[in-house]
Amino acid sequence: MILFIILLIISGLATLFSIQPKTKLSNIFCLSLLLGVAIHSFLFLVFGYCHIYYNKIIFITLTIIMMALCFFINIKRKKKLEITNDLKGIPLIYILFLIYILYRLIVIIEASYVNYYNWDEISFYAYNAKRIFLTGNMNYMYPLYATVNYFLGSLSYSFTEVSYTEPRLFSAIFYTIMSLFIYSRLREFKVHRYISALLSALLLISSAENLLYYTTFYSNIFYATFFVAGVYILLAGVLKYKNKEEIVIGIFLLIGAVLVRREAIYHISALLICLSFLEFLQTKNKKIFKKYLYLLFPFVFIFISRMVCNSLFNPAILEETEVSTISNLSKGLRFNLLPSFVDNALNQMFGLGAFESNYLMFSIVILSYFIFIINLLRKKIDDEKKYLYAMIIISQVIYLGLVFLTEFLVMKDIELETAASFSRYMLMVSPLSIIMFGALLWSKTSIKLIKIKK
Amino acid sequence: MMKVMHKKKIYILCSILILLLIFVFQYKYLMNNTVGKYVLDNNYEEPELDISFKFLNKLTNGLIEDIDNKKDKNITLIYNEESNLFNQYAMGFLSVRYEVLPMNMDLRYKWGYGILGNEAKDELIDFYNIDYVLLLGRNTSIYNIYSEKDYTLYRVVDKKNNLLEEVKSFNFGLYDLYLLSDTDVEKEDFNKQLDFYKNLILTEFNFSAIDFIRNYAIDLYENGDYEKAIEISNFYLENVDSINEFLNVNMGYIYKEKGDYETSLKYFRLCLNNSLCDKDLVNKEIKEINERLGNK
Repeated sequence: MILFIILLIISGLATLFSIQPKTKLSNIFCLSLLLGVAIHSFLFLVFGYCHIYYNKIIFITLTIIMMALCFFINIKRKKKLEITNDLKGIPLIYILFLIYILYRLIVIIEASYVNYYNWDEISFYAYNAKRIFLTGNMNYMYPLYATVNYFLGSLSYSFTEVSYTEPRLFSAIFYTIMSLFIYSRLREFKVHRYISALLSALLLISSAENLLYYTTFYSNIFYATFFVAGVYILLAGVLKYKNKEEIVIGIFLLIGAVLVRREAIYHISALLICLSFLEFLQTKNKKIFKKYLYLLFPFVFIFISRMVCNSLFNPAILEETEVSTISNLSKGLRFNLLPSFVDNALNQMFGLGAFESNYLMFSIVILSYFIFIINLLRKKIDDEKKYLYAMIIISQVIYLGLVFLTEFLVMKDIELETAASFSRYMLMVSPLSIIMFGALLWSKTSIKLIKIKK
Repeated sequence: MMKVMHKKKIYILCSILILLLIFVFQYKYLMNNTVGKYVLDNNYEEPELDISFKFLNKLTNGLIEDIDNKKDKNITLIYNEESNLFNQYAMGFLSVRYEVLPMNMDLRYKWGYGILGNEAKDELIDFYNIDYVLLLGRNTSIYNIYSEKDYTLYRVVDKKNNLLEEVKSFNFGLYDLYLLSDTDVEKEDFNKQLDFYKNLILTEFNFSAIDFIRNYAIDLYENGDYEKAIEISNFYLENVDSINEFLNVNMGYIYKEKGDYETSLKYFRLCLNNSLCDKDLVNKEIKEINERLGNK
């Protein structure tokens, strides 16, 4: 298993250095595994189209090829690899806490009984990964769903043994990566290191639900990490740094997100349209479409790749989904159901019961919006950050809107009444809000707010 | 300038202090009050392996004994989900046993076949190539034969006329485990299993355990084991959902039959607080009990 993770990290590093020869230490820690998983999952999908089982040998060979490619690209580029240590001064106590949480999650994962109520894990992710591994038949891979899970599951079985616990380890690792990612981004805003560490550590214990889900092999976990990292890096690349390398990394991560859950394509499309529109408003250059054509690239690429994926696989699946969506629309969108749905959604967010413990996450989301609006009205935020924050909020609102809508379209009967997964979806919104919250209150520009005029 | 620097430091220091307080509070809160506390708790005792496996093994070993479990034999599994609640046990069973059963296995789905695999239409299933058929899920049909339980195994008797013979059938649930507990050891195992689920509800608010306990209470009532049904229902109503629409009605009926009309009324009235409650039925019962009380 350790070998598998190391090989994934090597693939990710090769990808990272091919794109960005001058990189940060935090990117190496946070993004190498994510990029490795995204690239290999994409290849897993491509091999799936060709009905070739993506086994251990192919995986190792491709990792070596990636390393060689990275080597040649960098020789041709004639640029030395440079790593900036942006994690300098990271509080030791935070590192210890990170390791402690990882250790606890792994202990629970290793010791946990087979919980049959993890319906999606048992019936979809672990189950199909197991079938792919045992039969070598890639047809078991449902193309519209969780390629990342199938890749991680089947390959981890081939490196170790068929068990429930092995693929679950990735969930725990992804959780700590997300926390470290938030720490590094807060430090970019020059937020004090202890404050960044505390906010990132708070994410780890922000909700009991997170702790439960990060000991299972669900797709939400991988999606949340890819989505948060991808959206943030893409937005910061476009709006803050104006850096194409960052944008490309963001695209790779978003491809990872698309390979986990299909709703990503709709959300990312909507987000990119908003982003393009914002860029259009910002500039008076008439050659805007030429200048900012690259902005459309990720949108077009991801959309086309997804559509090609769908059409290459069983078209009956699409037809079936279309039909059920339309019939569910008429069934689900009934006004008499709306109050009960909203009631349940609010109950899950703020109410009593098992999800009450999520209050901190929801409070941070709402507070960060509130602080942003106040700062905006007082004109205390500079332009580039203003747009970044605005896009984060837009992205979150679009995301939640889509989730709210799909709950009507996709969910039926019992789920429609309970909005069972709404609180889980909401948790994906919170990490970006933590970055915003920290940056708004504690970045160096914010501290100017308390300067006393003499 | 110095004053500004000083103010900055105070601001940072206060922020760290406040965040630290929130952190400590949140940590303690998670440890004490929430369903995820066991992840953080060093003293948490790992639960024993779900011993329902023992029962599952008993049943599935039966399957292996019942059939000619050879590699050249073909078994078709038909999985149905639309007829009843999500049957995680069935899927878990398949997942665990998939590599254990050496037979050629063809898995077909009545529901979600686009997502999960092949469709289970009658015309797509050719009995000439099949030796056994396993139906998973209640009310699953094959050539007009409907399964009554979660798990029904058929042997293909006449390949030409599509004739099937039932080999074994059972439900995945606590009640069937309860019925299967013949020996003292098995009874002890069953009680352990029951305590295990109860404990999961109390410590983790585990949804799986909640489902099992509720269904067990309903099954007990439906099969006339009232004393046991009262005990399990009370546990559920006290710890999970005090206004459950099924268990309160069942309890109402049990106490009505016992002649304890006051208690019966209490349970029927509790059900009325639930929006899913069959209010017409419950109001009718309340009216009837009130009349009887009036007569007394």
